[in-house]
Amino acid sequence: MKVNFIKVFFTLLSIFGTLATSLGNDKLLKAANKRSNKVINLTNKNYKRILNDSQDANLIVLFSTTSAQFGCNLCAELESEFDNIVASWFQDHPDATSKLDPSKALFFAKADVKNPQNIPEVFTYYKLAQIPRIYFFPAGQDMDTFTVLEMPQEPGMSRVHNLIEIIKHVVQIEDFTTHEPVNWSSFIITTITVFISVFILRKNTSVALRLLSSKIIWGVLSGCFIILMISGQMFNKIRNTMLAGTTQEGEIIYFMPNDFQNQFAIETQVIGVTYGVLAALLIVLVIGIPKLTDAYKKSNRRSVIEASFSILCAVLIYMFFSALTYVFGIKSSSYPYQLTKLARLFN
Amino acid sequence: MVYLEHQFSNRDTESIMAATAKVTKETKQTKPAQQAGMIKDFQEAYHLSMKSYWEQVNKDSRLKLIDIFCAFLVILGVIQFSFICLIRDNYPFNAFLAGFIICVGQFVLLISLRLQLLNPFQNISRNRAFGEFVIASLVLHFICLHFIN
Amino acid sequence: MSTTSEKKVSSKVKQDVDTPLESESATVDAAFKTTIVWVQAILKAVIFISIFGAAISARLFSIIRFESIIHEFDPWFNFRATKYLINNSFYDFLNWFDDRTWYPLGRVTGGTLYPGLMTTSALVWHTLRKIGLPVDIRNVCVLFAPAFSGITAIATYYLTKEIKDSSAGLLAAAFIAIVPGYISRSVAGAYDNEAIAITLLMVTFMFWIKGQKTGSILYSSLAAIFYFYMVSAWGGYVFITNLIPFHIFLLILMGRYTSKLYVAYNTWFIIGTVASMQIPFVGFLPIRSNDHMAALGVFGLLQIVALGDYVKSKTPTKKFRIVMIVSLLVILAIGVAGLFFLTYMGLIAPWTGRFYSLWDTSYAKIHIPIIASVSEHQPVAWPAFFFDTQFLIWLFPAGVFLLFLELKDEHVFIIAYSVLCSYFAGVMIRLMLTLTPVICISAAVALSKLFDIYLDFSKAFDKKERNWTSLVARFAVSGSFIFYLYLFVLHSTWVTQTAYSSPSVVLPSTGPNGQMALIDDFREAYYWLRMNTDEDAKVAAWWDYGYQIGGMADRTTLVDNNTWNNTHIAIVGKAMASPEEKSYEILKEHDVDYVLVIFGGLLGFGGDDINKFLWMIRISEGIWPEEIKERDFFTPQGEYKVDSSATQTMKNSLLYKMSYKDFPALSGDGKLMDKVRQQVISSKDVGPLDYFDEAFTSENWLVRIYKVKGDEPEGRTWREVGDFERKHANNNKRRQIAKPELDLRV
Repeated sequence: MKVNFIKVFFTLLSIFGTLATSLGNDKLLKAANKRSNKVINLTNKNYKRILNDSQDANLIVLFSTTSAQFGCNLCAELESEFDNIVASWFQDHPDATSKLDPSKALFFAKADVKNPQNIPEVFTYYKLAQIPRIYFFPAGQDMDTFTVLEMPQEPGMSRVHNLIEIIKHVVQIEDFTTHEPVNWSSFIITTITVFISVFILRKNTSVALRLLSSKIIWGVLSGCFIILMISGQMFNKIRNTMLAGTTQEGEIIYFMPNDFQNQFAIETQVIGVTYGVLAALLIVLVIGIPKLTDAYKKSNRRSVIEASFSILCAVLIYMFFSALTYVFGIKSSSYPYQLTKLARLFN
Repeated sequence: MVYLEHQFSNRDTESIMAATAKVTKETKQTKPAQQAGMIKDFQEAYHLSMKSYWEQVNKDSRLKLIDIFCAFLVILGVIQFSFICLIRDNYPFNAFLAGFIICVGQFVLLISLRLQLLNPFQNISRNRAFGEFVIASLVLHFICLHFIN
Repeated sequence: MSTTSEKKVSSKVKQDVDTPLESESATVDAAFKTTIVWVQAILKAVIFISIFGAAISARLFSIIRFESIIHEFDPWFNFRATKYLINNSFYDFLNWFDDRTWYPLGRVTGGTLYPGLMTTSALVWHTLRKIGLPVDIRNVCVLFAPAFSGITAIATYYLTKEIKDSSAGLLAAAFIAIVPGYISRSVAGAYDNEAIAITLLMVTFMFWIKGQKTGSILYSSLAAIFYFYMVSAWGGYVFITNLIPFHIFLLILMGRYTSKLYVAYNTWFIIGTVASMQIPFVGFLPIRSNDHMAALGVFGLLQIVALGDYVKSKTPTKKFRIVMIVSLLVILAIGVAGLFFLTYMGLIAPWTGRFYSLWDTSYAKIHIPIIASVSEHQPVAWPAFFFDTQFLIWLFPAGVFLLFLELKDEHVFIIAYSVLCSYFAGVMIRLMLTLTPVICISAAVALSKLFDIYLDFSKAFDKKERNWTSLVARFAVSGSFIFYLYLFVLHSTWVTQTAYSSPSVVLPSTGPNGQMALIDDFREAYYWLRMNTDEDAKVAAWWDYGYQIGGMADRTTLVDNNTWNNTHIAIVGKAMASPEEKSYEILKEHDVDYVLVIFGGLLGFGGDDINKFLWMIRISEGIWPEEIKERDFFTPQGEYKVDSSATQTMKNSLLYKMSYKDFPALSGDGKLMDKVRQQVISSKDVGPLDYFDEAFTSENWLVRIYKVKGDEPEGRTWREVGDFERKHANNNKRRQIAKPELDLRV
């Protein structure tokens, strides 16, 4: 009987304890619940209050931008990753306090530069020169004590995971696990496509079989695959290259100059299209033109048509090929055989 | 030998077919008629090919010779393999391997020769095929002897 | 230069290629025909001789510009092994246990190398001696690759001839002779397995295509014998082991089974497999490893298909086909399940790591840093493809597509080869080499198809059919392509000259006034080692330099380019990354006498040890995650720094101290720019080195050798001695400063 009483007492005590600590966090929780992603938005009005109010709670603040004018890739990546981290926390802890250690509460906030002309005060307050930055404000301290969290390199889930590890370390909580967001839309789309394609296949088996045994389709597919490979697709995939780069003056460039061990992702697209066009033109010359001549066998203009089309193809090949050598000239500046600089070839 | 192998694989497939038939019987009672037809087809095919095989062999004594040699090789291979299984040890592994591979290899080469004797390929006469067969067999034997140590 | 003129000849040759064709189509009487056949034969011979000449002379740039010297790293080992082979018997060679590498483990060299290359060159050397031409073995080795490139060209000719016709064959031979993608691995001095392997690859494929086409046992046996030769020469033979079964599998899928396939494949497989097991390094792999299971599976499949084919030909029932397909599928499923089961039971080795990293591209980075660290295993950006093949690269997909339109059995082979290999080459730069031949073949097919149409001027001689507009158009098209061919020759010459002819033992450089100079620091240092150290002194260096130290300095090394023992490599990495005291202990445990580091900061040589440092750290972190942490070598901002903002761990590491010892002092004010990393090193960053003595630094500071100090006679640690002496030295300095003043006063 007595033991029971003590048990009840302690449970009550612990509940009250939790309540007591979380009382101060009520406001923050309210602020967090305002938005669907549970991230407190720091504005000019509220930032001092929130950062100072968080006496009982640990606060992680992301300084970032959603403005496209900065051209900040990392910020864009962090956008969804940060939401993912926050969602992972609130999924297990709706009241924002750790279950193992009820005295530890954790909230997330974000300061966002929406417009380069109008930079929020928080940024000037902390004299931020570089974004994105993630600050950690420990519980029980005012807004001037904080630590900067390091930014893991690899993007995607691995960064989310690493950041959560770092946060666990600085806040000293144990029960914070990553929850990968389930992408329902892609799941549904895949199911529907599979369903529809199976349905179509069953209805038109003969057509499907003919398509499957068509030489041309297989030829085009393998041609495309080869072109994709030889224009550096695997490099992009393995190295996670950027789509395009910027010069020091801030102009966007599509080709990484003077570096032919390296490339931007967009180069693959440009080069792939060029290779494709060149190969297609060659096939037209070999297959198309004789067929065309056959079609006009009886016409008087046969030779004119043949001549004009084949010369057109040759000229187009020349143009695309010179474009290719020009681009290669960008990648390797000492390249002497550019078709665009024909005169130089004969010196 | 083709006869032998044929029988084996037919038995295999038959048993598999029987198994599948059983399964389908349990789940769907509508299919057995079709299954029975299939097995019947099977038997028919089996008898037909057997018949033509005997005709073929009786016509050409060279084929008979090849087939007997093939059967001998298969028996030899099976003996070696079961010996390894029986003593549960394959210590001079290379020796076993050489012995076994030479059985398989000679068998395959013989079948190749047999195919060519039946329907000679373009530009390769029967005699040339035989000569090539001898060369390949010599090479195979040389390597396997080397392998045995 | 003679080579360039030679090249021009070969470009003219390519134009000549099509003359026989023109004459073929001309209608002439029988007597005239025989003359034409003769002219064709002579022309072909002339073309072959010039292709041979072009192939060899294009590869001699490195000898002309430098000297007859073995290049890079691996060739040094091959050279050393060849020397061992010609001084000992063949059986000694196969049983060679090398105690001068991987100290203290040693290496069973005879059982862990591919002996094909060394045996071939030893054979060449012996033959030359027999016929009264005593050539230095070094020259045989240096000129080995160029000579074999000529044979490659001939093999490619015959292969392409089987694919299309002899005009395409000649084009392909000319392409492969001068294409930079192949020259990159076969210049004079590149005495490496690849030099012979590509030749053998082409010969094997040629015989395979012939065997598959004719169904001849002889050709297939030849394919098997050359396959065996290939197995003895290069680990890349696995590519053939999988490509040929894949070809057969595709043909069966397409319903193109014939008894020719049965004959060709089974002969090749049985002889090839049992022959490949004769190589000690390969051993029982062909029946144990997953890499080879595809071949075995197709072998079994073919037996079943052959049986089914036989039965099918005898039985008229159509229903039987369904039964056949069902039983085939069941057997296939059983086979795959059995494979998984055996792998699971451990009876069959799973795929090798290198093979894994081809499919799962991030696999190597996570699991085997040693594979990821090699620059040859990096993915390829597009400029490399263009650089290596110029306009062939866009003829390549066109050629593949054109082959699809015909799609004979042998075309399936080329298509499968192209598709698979373009993927592999995209993932790993070293496989670019296996892609290059097929690029040449399909480009030649595409181009010769074009020339068949547009170089056909036969109508020009016929007055009735002459049509000027069409002739002009043909002239324009073919002229532009001949111009591209000419450009290709120029491009290849330029690439070979600028990129692929450097031995990397001797570095070219341009002096301040623009004149060429050679940097010979490596050899300077290796010869210093050879002349000034004990014969059995042990040298610790990063594995890249193991073969060179073994070959040029003839000293025992801890690790080398063979990289068979990851832990041992990690030990050296740990020694380099640890603070001095710890490294000293590690090195002492391994009896190391000298430590060799490569430092490019003074010269601006990018491939030095500080740049490779991250890999050393990663590899040793894989073994000792507690002691070495990659994180500690990065600044809090996540940068890899070596200047004053470098982390303390970095500054304390042995490699850092060894690289930068006395470096800042070179300039008067104790601050000097590291030319590779563009960071300023100041004297206060570089801590003192107590446990090692600087033994040698080469002219341009590229190689620095340190001697590991012996035991301190009074039993103190060298750190204590160092501290004591520095204290002492400070006093001395004060005194020294005081002295001259005193002198002046007197």
